[in-house]
Amino acid sequence: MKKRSYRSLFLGVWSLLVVCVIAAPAQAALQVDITQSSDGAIPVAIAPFGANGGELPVDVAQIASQDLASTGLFKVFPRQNMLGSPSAPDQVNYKNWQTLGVDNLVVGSAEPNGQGGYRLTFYLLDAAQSRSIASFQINAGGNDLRDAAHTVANLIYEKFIGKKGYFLSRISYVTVTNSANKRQFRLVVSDYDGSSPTTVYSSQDPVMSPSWSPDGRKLAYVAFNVYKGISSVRVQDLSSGNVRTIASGSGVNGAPSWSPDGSQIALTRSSNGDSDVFVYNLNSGQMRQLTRSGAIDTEPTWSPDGRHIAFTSDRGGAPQIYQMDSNGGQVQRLTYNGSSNQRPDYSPDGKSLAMIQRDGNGFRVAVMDLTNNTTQVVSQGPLDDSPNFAPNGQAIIYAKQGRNGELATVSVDGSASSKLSQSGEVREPAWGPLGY
Amino acid sequence: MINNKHSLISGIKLTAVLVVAAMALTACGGKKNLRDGDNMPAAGDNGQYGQTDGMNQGRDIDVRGLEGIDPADRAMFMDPNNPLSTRIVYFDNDSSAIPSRFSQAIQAHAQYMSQHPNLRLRLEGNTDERGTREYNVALGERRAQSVKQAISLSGANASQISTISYGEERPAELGSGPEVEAKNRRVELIYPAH
Amino acid sequence: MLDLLEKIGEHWRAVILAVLVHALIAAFIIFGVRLMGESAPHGNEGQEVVQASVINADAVDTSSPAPPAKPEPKTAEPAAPQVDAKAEAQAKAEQAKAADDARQAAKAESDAKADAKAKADSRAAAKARDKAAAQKATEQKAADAKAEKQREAAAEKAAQEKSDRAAQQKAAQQKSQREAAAKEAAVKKAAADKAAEQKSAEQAQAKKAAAAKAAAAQAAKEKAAEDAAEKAAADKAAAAKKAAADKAAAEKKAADAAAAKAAAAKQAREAAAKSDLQKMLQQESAGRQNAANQRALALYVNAIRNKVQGNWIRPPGANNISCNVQVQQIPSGQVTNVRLLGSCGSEAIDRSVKQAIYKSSPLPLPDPRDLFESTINFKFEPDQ
Repeated sequence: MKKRSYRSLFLGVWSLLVVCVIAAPAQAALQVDITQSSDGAIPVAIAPFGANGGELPVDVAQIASQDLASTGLFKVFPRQNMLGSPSAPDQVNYKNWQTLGVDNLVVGSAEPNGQGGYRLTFYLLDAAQSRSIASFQINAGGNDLRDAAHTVANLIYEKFIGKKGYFLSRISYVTVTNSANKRQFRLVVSDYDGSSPTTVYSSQDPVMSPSWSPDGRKLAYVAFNVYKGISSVRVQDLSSGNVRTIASGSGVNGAPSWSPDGSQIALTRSSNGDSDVFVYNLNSGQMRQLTRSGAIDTEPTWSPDGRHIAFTSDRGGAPQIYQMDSNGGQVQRLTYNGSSNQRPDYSPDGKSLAMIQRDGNGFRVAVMDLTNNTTQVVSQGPLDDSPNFAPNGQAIIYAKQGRNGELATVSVDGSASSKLSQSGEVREPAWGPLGY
Repeated sequence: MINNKHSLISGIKLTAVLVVAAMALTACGGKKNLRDGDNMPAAGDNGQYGQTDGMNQGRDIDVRGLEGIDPADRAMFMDPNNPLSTRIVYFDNDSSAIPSRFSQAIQAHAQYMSQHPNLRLRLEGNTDERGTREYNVALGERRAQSVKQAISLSGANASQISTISYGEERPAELGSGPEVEAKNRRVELIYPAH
Repeated sequence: MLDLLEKIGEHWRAVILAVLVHALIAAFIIFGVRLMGESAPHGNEGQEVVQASVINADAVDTSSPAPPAKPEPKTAEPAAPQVDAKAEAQAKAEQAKAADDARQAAKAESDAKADAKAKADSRAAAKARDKAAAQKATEQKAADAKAEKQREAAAEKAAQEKSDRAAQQKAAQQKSQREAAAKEAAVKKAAADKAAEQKSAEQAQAKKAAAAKAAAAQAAKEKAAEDAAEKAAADKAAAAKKAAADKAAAEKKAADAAAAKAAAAKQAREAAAKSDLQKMLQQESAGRQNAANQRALALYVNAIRNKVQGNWIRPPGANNISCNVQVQQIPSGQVTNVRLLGSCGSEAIDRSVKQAIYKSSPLPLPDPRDLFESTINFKFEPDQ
């Protein structure tokens, strides 16, 4: 009995000591609360892509860098400050890039794939932590290196922002030029940044309101014939050039907007001077009237789930934005801020509405959160128009200054903006689908 | 005597040749249009419609818009003392109500139209540049309709009148500011040839 | 007692084995090897991986010269700015609770560790005892054979074996009984420790609650006076705005006021965090009770916070971030381990947080140096 108690006593004391030694250091930790971050542009460096000693016909790294920088969300490291151009992670000296202050590094290479095209391989590296984040491989045809560069930018964008990038998307807009006292209106389709523009329709009479089909293959738009005094809504196939006129005549035929499934087009028509929203079925050719107020009802736009149509109406006095079912029922007013609200456009997730809001500062782009009814103004005015969401919902393109027009893009929270390089007067932008 | 007749005939011939030549010159033309496969003719023919830049449109005394008027009567429409020469109705801000100072002109046009039942009148509605484009098209159409109603109430047949609106797309004057805007808020009375 | 010494002398091999095993365990505890957490980050490029070691902070560098006396003695707690004191107290309480939670979690962790270690100890002791019992059996056999050599070989052998087996069984029984007793004792001791620690923790909590209550009472007094002043000032401002009748100017003023309010609230929170932090450290480590050390500690924390905040680039559209990060550093300030306690919201945000910390390495060092802490708990919770 005595022996046993001594043994257990010894064991107990030893365990107590052990516990004390373990427990003591865990209590002495510093607590630091981080309540702020520094400015929000993500720093990234894209080293020139290697090409087995030669040079690629297209500077992939440069195009991808420009793509990312254009969003205003990325701070791109200038090439002239790079200390080397590695093409693979095993060529990267992380210490060098850390001293340059580079947090995120992209290195890559392209090699011929034996079918006239290229296989691009690139890596996204975390220079601050000296480790690899992701690696990618892209196959591109011989003439598609530019698209491959945009794909590189899309993949990097998605890694950091968590949404798909829009660098393969296209936009459409109207340009007006003056020569010999004659004005020429052109409907143009280009890359999202304005490069590679193509004219798809040209006229000396006004052209308005381009609207993309959901598959990006067709454009609906409004054309006039001043000589005859008529307006028309046309649907043009971009690859074949075929045109189908779905509404034409005197009065108003305008404001086309494609349904999300591509089978219908909402538009505005008038009778006895009263403008209303109609829906045209592309398969059956049937035209159905949705609004019947004696007031102006125009600028319809479909919600992404196809269940609602928002539109501008001045049935309450000044123009405001209303929403109805896609069959015309349950009309309700959406906007109450400012002195007027017009030209709605749903975000791709259907949770926000872009619009032109008028107040003491003029006409500016505003974004309304439909889930909590808050609105935020994101442009400066005084005469902004035609807001259109990017296909990933992260930016809005719009026209500035009405007549001396140019196009600008603003991030959806208003924090970053950029202008599209365009010559001449540009207006009425429309943003097509993602393109992949 | 024979000399006079001879010179008279050659004079007439010369005039006829000149007139025919002038008509030929004005009738032909029209630019080629890309994607022009439908029933929209080459838009913006030259000649009387060639000036589409807004610089010469919409002035009160102008040849445009009188092609459908019997040439003998055109002088009336160009005489500033004649209410028929007022072929532009101007509007106040955000309004489609016709200011009273245009009542006389409206009555005059209505009367002329009732005397010429085959005459066609096209009312072109316009707005200033503030606001969104498609809404302005609808607003211009409302203004055109307003004038149409006024004219038909004053005796003209409504079926002779059609409307079209260009919103802010065909301004009478470029620039900004209240005076320019006031010049652009208008409905133009056009008597087309067809 | 003499019996015990005799037994030890007899079975010295077993005893030495047992002591060795215990010494090994002790060595592992004191010179800790990290079995959990992320591997060190700088492994890819063949850079040296520096292992962190848990050093008792009190033993670090007491030979450094004493810091020069500061010319202007400030009070430990800066004057609270005009701010909503209720929110202040609430924030304090929340922070205290969060710190408490963190510490309790740490304690639970260390308790579990103690339990595991005690169990390992008794298992090792049992193993050693097994060895000792086996040795004892064989030795006993030889001794009995020697003493019984004179008796009849065959019959005595059988009798011997019988008695051997009986002795073995007895020893085994005693062994298992002793094991159970030892286990019980260890568990009791561990439980007793836990209870003792919990008691001290509860005491600390009670102390803190009392202190928070007192602070809240005082703050409520101040708030009453401040509210009146604020209301008068706000009324004046509203009247001035109405006279101007400029909507745009009004909006801008509202935005400015909101920004100023947010800045003031943040200032108040930092002051609350500072004073709260000081109180916590006071109770945790006995050797840091004087006011000069409190201030130096606050400066240390601020230096680290400013550096990391300056290096943190938040991905756009990232709202409602709240996450805790545990960081290990060595006395040079170099960061050796970063561990996220749960995701901060997305892969991109997690990466931005880790990048901010690594870019801030080496972290600023405290003055005096003996305030250095090898473990830092970061909380990333931006205001928007």
